[in-house]
Amino acid sequence: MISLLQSNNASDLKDQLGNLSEDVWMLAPEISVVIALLLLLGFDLLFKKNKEIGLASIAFCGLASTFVILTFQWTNFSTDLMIMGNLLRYDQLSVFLKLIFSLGGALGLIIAARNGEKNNLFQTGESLVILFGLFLGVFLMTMATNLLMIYLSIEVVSICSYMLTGILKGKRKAEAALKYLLFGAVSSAVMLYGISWLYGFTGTLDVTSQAFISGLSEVSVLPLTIALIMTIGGIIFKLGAVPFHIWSPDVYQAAPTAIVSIFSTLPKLAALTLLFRVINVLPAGLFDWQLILGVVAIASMIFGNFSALWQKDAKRMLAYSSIAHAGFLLVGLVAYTEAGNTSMLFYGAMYLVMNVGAFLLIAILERRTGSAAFDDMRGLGMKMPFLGILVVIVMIALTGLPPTVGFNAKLYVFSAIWEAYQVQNNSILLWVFILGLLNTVVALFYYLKLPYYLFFKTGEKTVLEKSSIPDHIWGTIMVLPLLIWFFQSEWLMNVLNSINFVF
Amino acid sequence: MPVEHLVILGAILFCIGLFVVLTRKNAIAVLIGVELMLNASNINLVAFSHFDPDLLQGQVFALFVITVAAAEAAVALAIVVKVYQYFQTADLDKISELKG
Repeated sequence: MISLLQSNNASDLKDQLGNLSEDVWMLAPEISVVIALLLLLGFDLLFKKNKEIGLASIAFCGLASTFVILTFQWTNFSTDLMIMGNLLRYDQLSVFLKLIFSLGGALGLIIAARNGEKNNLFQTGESLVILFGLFLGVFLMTMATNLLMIYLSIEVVSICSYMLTGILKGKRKAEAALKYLLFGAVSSAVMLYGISWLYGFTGTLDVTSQAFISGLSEVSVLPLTIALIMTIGGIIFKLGAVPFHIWSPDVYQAAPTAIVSIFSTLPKLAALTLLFRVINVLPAGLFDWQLILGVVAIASMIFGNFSALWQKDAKRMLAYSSIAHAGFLLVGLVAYTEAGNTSMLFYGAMYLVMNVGAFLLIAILERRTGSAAFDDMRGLGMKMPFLGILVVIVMIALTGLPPTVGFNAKLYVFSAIWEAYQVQNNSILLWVFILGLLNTVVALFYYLKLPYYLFFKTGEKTVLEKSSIPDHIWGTIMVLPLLIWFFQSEWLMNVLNSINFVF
Repeated sequence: MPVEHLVILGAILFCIGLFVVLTRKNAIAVLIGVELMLNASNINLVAFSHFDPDLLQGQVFALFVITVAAAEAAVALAIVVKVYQYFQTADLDKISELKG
């Protein structure tokens, strides 16, 4: 768009338009998501009754076609490209993330579909339409390299998230949506002010351009630090790390479980990608982002883990756990090495699988008891031993113990930061390493709380519904990879190692 | 008019907006504060586009910000109406069922 504005004569414009129409093919996954969104909207308007099957099939077909297109792009990937007049970047990292996002989105929809009659997302089209808007936003977030695109994609995700939190009836949902909205609006306003200063320093919005880098080098340290902290703060809000985490426990507790499983994974990983892209273009030595992000990572891990110890509600506990996981995700980023990037991506992909699995099991238990409070789950493990064992495995994976892939993920991340410390000799890396390892021990106490309530406490509460075969099948499908990949993680690491992180 | 004046105006507007957000208890008032902060950024963007070789990026950005702010305000007011139905108030101190 910006280069379009530059062009003065007609032939130049014609070339530019020709380039744009070629770039459209790179955006095929986004177009597929938008088509699915429009179909959902039209279907919802045209039909009055029994919409569930139609809406569900459109949603799943939309995600499946997106996934197929992305697989095609992944296998035929040739070279990194800047597309749409340098607004977006088409590279392996974004294609890989979009692949796992479309999988995560489909798993989230499966949780919604398994949720039965009450509060079903598929009964009206609105929430699905907004959900696809969120998918479009996270897809664009993985590609954005322009400050305008960064702001717009974050806003698309944010506005969709506010609506999804509050769209179903309920006093708590409305309250959580209001809190989320106010925190989100303020943090995006602060980020925008930071962006406006970065634009003022450099005279360009394209973060990959030479003018941006040389412009930043000429600014004195204090204004530059303030502007960058403001900008990064808005991204950290979407990541849900300390100090911009306050919204997440309320939202996670109140929003429907299927939606929360998507909130806790997709926008977080997309925000991490944005953060990765922004800090990678910063000239070395200008701004000590390693210190700031290291402190954010340590604070997130400590705050998330210690607050989770006192929770009485499983979803609220997972909210604090996801704050802690945001810290662990940042560890790989702070290492700032090739191994750090790969381990960060590995951790992100595994975090997505683990978290969606955990929320699926919580949703199944929640349907039996009517709430996600620990007290209501007493003794359920004895009545449903198979599901209970699945819960134990997921919780062990989230803690990061063998024989689950959570262990591999933590191992890669912490070995990356240890190697980075030995090379760079930066003391913040050592602190991140030590405190991160100690936090893993703390995490054990609260992750095993749910299995403890399931198996070792006896409850008088009757089970509302017998556990069904599909629940067992879906639970197994989501949990089994955690065990298999513990032995086969080299396969995924090889895929990740083939990704070129260089700009 | 020199660019410095515009930038100072933007900074003052941003601080007023932030002050309103932090001190007011009413949800609508907080949203008005957010609106002020967004407009402060708009003034900055338009002022800085003076230095931009393309001259337009900041102004185009400001147009996008205005659109996003309108969308955000629409969603925000819808949510405030919904909260009012349940709580009979828009006072943020009294809207506190979720704790822990």
